[in-house]
Amino acid sequence: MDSTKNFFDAWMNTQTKFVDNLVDTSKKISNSLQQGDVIGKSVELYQIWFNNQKDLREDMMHSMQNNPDNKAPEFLKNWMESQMELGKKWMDLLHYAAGKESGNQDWSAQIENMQYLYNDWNAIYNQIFHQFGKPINGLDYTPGSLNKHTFAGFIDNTRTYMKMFELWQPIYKMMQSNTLGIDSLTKVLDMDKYKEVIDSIFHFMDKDQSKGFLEMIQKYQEFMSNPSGINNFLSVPLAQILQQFPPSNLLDKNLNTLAKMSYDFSEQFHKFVQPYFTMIPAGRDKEMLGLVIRIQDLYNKYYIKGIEMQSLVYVASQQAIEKAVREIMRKSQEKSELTHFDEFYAAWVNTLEEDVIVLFGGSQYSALQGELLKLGLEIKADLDKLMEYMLAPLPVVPRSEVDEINATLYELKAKVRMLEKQLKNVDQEK
Amino acid sequence: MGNPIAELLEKINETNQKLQKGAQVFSHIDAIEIGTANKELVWSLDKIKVYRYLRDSEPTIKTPILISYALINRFYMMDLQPDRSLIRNLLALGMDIYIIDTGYPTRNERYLTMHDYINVYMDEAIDFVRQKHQIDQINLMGICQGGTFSVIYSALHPEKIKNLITLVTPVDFSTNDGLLFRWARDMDVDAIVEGFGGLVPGVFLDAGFQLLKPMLKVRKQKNLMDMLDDEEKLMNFLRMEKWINDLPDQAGETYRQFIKDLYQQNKLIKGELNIGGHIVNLKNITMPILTIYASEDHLVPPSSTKPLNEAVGSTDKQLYEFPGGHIGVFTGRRSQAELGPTIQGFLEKRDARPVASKKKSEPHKDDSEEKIPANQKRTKTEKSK
Repeated sequence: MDSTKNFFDAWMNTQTKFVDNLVDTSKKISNSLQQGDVIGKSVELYQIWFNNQKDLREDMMHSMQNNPDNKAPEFLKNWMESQMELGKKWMDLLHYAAGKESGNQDWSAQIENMQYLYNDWNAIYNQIFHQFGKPINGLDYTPGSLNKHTFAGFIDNTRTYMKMFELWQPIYKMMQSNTLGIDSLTKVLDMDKYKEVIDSIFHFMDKDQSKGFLEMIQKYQEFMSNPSGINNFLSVPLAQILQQFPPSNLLDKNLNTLAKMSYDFSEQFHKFVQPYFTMIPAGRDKEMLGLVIRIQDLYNKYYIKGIEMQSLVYVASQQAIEKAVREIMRKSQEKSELTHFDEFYAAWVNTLEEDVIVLFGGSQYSALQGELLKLGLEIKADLDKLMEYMLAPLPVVPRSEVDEINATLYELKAKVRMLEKQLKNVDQEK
Repeated sequence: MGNPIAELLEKINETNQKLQKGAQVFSHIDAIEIGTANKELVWSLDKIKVYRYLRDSEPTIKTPILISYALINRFYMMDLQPDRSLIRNLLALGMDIYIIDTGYPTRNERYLTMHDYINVYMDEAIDFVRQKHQIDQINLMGICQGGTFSVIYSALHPEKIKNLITLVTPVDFSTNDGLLFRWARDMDVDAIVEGFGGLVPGVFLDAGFQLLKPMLKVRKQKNLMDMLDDEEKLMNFLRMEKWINDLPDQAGETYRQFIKDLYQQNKLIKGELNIGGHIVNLKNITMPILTIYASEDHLVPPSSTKPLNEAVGSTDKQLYEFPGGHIGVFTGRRSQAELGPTIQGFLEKRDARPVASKKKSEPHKDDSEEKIPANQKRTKTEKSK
């Protein structure tokens, strides 16, 4: 058997024990928190956990040293190390929480501590995610790509789930203190984090993704720069427009101004460039320049339309979370007990889907989507043409020529089929 | 009031355990097998293939059935796993099954039109089955887009089809019930076909399908968290995922015509659709027809499938409502007990001895000449219980 697989199995086995040990101990601490018998128990439990963890680590290191080929993938070793650190930090956290609790039955103090606890855990959790994707993506012997794909989706969703859990914390806190209302919701809800959740679900452009676009604009400006000062002309209005994309706020409604700026800029730009453009002699260079200008123009429009479409979804998303909160407030009042996170999560998922489907079915969204699709594919078609121009001096057959051959083949096949059919009919008539 | 720290700990523990278990389970899963019912390749032309499913015994329904599936996704959805397989159910119910596999078009196929798929490939595949069995007519069953093609074929070549069955098949595209129908009207199809260089990617189409139920993925992955310790459920999930992600690209010219003539201009139901120089008249469909639709279908809503029954010229026609969604019709537990027997029952009653093939096919005669017992003629809608 593959020694890497052997190692992986051993490693996975140890991982399972690590987590079991961690979970078991934290559950016991959690129980002791509930029972009020904290300080003595937590020290005892911490000691048991530490000894177990130490044994597991030693076994694992022994196994790694005895691996004849020593082919243990680096990422697995790293992950194990980080799991050890994670475990220690986690247990320290619990130990700390237990210490804080000793002799203190005031739940409000616990709630105060929750943010501390949560922040630390969140940092650890991010570390898990960071490490967690690596081994799965690196598994050469994982059959097919579906498992990786499915597992990646699973991780993505877990991230969404936990981000929503994070957003839920202040809501829960306000429900406990009976201070929750829709007005206060907008104050406590972390809109940036909520926007991240929505961006992730709908695969929207974020700042990082738009970086490529901005770089392209920069390159385009460099390409266009010449002594006539086109570059200077470009830099000011473009910078003004691009600095504000994509909107940093979920409910940024400054789109019309931005769109107008962009279109005005585009119009002015064409007026400015047109005389120079007509002076360039006809040929490949002129064609390429024409395409570059067109692509730039299309990109501007695409970007603005994209943001406009995202904004519609953001507004629906904002309404959805407000509706979900209203729903859980109503339920809590009816049953006189606080709603659990999973109920809130389910209410939010259902409401968001309903609202977004209504949005998607509207003429505004549909038209916008159609325009965006058209713009995106026009850009793609122009980029393909541009690529063909660039490859023209090289000994490669461009796609358009292959398509001509395909078209001829298609016509010939149809003719052959028709002739065969005619022959068959003649034979049958004989 | 519960202890908030305890709840937080519980949530964190739960998630950690699930992640851990997920990594473990996924790393040990072997190949995911689907479409395993035995079949043999019996005919091919270009990239189009026809398979015949193997049987252990003689079929009890003598007229063979040819299945035409949609160009998007793959036909093995009807045989995802042994205990969720319409194909296996129909075989067990005595049917002799052929299926058209339209494969994975590449740039070579970018110019294929609906005429090619219907009047060339489907026609030749049907001729092959007719010749093999020495009969004039066979049964035709079309699914989704494959159903639309089957309807068009049956209108153009009614003499070759004994019974027509359509499942979740769009025919009237004027509906506003489905988002796809709404969106298609705002789409510049030429820009799409040209932008993708004549071959429309399957993943592009799938992105649109996913937006129809925008939170489906979130729900699905949440459910996945809860099924990680149940290998059977997990394997069911993975089989479906494999099928969902197997997305052939589409020949651009076929896509162009399908969207423009059907989704945008609704020419089929209006009697204006031109395929290979012939106008498609649904009144030419006079053979018995079974129209199966799904009540909760968000891809092909009932309002787009049901009008077929009124549009055809057949007098022996059944409308069958299946409670569920577009895919659930084939893969749901209820479907395993219900769908196969419904199809078998319809065909068995109309399975008069197949007419022996004459040397030359006679042109189609109108419905009044078909010898269908009066008690088998139905016009009333039959709904599932």
